[in-house]
Amino acid sequence: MSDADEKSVEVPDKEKAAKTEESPPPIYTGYDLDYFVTPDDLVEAVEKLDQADFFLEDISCVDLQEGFQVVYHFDRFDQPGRVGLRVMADRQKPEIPSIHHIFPGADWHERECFDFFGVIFKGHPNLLPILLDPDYQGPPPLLKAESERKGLQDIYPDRDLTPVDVKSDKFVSEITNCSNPKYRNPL
Amino acid sequence: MNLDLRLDTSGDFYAQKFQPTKRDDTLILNMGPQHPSTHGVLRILLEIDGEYIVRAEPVLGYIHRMHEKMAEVMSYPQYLPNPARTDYLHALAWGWAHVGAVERIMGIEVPERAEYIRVITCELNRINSHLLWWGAYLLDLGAFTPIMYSFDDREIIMDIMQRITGSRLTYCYYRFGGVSDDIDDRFVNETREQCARMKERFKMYKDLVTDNFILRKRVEEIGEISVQTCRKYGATGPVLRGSGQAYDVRRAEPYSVYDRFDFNIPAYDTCDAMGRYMVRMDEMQESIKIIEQALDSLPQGDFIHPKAPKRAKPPAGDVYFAVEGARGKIGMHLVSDGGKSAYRLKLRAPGFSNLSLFAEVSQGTLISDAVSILGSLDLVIPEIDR
Repeated sequence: MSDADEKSVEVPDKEKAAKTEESPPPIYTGYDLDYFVTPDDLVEAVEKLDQADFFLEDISCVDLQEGFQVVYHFDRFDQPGRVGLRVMADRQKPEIPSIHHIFPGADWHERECFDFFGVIFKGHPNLLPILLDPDYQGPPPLLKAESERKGLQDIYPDRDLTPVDVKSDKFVSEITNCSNPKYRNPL
Repeated sequence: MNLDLRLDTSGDFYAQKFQPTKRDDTLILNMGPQHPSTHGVLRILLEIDGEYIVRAEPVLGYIHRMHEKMAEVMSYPQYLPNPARTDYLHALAWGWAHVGAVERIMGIEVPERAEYIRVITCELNRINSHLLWWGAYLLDLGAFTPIMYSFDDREIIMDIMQRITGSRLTYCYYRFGGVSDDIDDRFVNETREQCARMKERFKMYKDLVTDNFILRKRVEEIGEISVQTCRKYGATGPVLRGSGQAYDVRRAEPYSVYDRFDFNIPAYDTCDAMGRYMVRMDEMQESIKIIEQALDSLPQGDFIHPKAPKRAKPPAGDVYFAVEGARGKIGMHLVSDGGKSAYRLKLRAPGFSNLSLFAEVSQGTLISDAVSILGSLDLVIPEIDR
């Protein structure tokens, strides 16, 4: 390792923080569209994404103070662009509708989410442990301790958390025209 | 100690759940978890009617190690070697997905030379991965010799990589803001020699295997997967491209310097195992093209950004970063709360989605064809089980 690397370590945290505050990083987060959706609207939103030829990348879940944030990632083959759908599930009763009847590939992703967080997907035909041992008795392994749990405000400090209206034409036209800014068609 | 030695026919948890069947003339069979054609520890529950598969259900999790929990416990630099342990065949692509996600959330710049080094090494690793797949797939189909040829080529590439990365299989070479060590002239020369050698070898592979009548009987019109099926299950990589859809993250969501190179995205619309086979054979040649272009235009400069943080501490937020691995789209969803370790790191394994369509595709096929289909999906079980 060079000397320059060593020096950078010694930069105090305060100075670093000041730097980032001066110029808020205009980072591309990897999401071309990102929505909060209510559990009741989820199926309808996913149906619209299905009609717009999206495929399901994965289903991620984050344990937060407000409950479980289940994040669905969608992308498209012909016109790439990532859409994120965020659904908040209640902690006491973590139930959200299953989307396996629209995307059969969601089956395993939902089982994994059930495994790691205990989120129940209503209507799932086969909600069994997939990666964990079926005899495992303990709490779901990715649950955070009460003291470590962060709120939505800590992670998304300046984000509008209001759910999108999936019935609106705006939502449909946004997802239909969604595209990755860096993508260029080679032809 | 259980001394009851009577045969337990009820099976384990998954077998019991799988058992109920409408027919009384079928047999429930376990393929795996120690079956040689499942390359590790994949188990598939089959309901068979004679030699034909009525239902199939993969059972996963035999080598689950909870990499996602480890990401929350370890600091970012400590986690660097972990992604390589998921998909050990294309370790660098997984490492790239991890460092790429952290670089994206922190806004770390990567020097141009480091980007080129990453492209060269990642493509070398991709060739290695496809070569092993090629040898092992043919082994599944009953051809023993090709794996000897493929390991011959793999050895040379692994020797080249070992000199600069320090390891032969589970590389941990990428760092936040660059790579751990620079490449030298010897690496460049050896890589050029190997590229030239591989081009000759591909001709031999084609004559020896690809044009072989016996192979074609085993792969043509076997395991046909439509683009719609791929979309519904989220299958990517050669599985998707073997169904005629030229989708590649290197082109669709260009990361690093991939947009500077001229390469094709091979796609075959035969949709069968042969299509997937041909995609991988062509992809190796495309990788050689990329490597040669990158070596020709390799810029001078730093191999790691001089101000790259050693103890990464990203700001709060979340990002998604995807790269093209040998098996498809590798994605990382990183959620940070501003701490030293990830608040949540979700790994998207391409094999997980690719395997999930097996239950549908294998219905009504012969068991021997199911082995061919499984091989053509190019499964790496540690990646699926994570």
